[in-house]
Amino acid sequence: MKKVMALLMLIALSTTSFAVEQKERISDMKHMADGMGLIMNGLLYNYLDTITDGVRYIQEGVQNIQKKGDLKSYLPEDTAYAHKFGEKSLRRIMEYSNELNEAMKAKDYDGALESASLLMRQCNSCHSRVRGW
Amino acid sequence: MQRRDFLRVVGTGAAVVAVYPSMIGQTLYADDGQLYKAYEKVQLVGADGSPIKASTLEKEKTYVFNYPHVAAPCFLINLPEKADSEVKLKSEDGIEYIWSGAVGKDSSIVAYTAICPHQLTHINKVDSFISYVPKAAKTMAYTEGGVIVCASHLSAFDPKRGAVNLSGPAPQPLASIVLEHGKDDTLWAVAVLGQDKFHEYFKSFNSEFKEQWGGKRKAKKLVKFSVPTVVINEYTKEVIQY
Repeated sequence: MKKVMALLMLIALSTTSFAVEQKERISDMKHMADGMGLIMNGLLYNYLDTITDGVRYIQEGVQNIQKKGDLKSYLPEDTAYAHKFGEKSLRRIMEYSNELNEAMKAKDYDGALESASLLMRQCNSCHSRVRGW
Repeated sequence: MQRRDFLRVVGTGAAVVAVYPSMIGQTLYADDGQLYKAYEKVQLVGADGSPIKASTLEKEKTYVFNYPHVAAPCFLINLPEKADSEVKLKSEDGIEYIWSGAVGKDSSIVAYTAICPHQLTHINKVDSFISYVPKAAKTMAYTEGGVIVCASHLSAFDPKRGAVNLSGPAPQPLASIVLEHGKDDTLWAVAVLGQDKFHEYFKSFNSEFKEQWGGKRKAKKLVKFSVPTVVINEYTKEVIQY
């Protein structure tokens, strides 16, 4: 009986942990997607503050994920093996968002547009691998 | 030369350039559909500067050198068997071209740009998500080893057949580096065959070029005279394979 109880508790715990991870992942991704939306709107309507906010959202999202350490337990179970690819994607997202900020400071609209499109591509690159189409 | 002859020569030249704009910049589209861009002939040398000899390349070991740009990485591989020859390939935009084959005593030495044509995954000094998977090894990207695999989105390329794209989202073969094998067993890189992605590549990784090459301008410089060629683990810190 004790063994059965222990097994049930283990299953309950792992299910809860999975649910928490999934909730965290959705929350981080939504924060970053909101950031991307702000950047697109800012570029389209020439709202510089909106772009800066968007970059901040994205970088907060990246830092939140990086804080968790190993991405293996963060990614969905079936694509956890691709954690190194995920980690690299996060680094690239950080680079492109920094470049976007620099282009903004230099009032380089074309450069900002280029960085934003690279940023979008990097997000999609990871999504197409981890989430699939 | 009379004025009329001079005008005729100039007119003919202009017409040729108008019909074949690729005549400028050494890009040649031959009648058979070849896409070929010649660069300076560069000798492959070891880290100590001594010439690489084709016969000393270990089978299935991946070597890396940069060509034609200072930061354009390429793989040099001595395949376990003879490569095919006269392989017909097609680039992303439909241009057909012929990969003539490998060099070396066994016709097994090949070189390709180590930049995936899908999303420009490449080898750099920190890591490599693109690499050669030996014949006896397994990969998620293809049914068997002996292929070059981009671990980012799992594209596989056949190095025995001009790096034709076998599976995954890559839309075209890896561009190949045309090698010359000297009578003294030396190896030389002379050209790039196929549609390269250098333009997009140099637009996409500014931070990396700054960090690893001192800036994009330095990274884009063309290689001259000779180029160090080292085993992959000496070129990069980590090779990631799936």
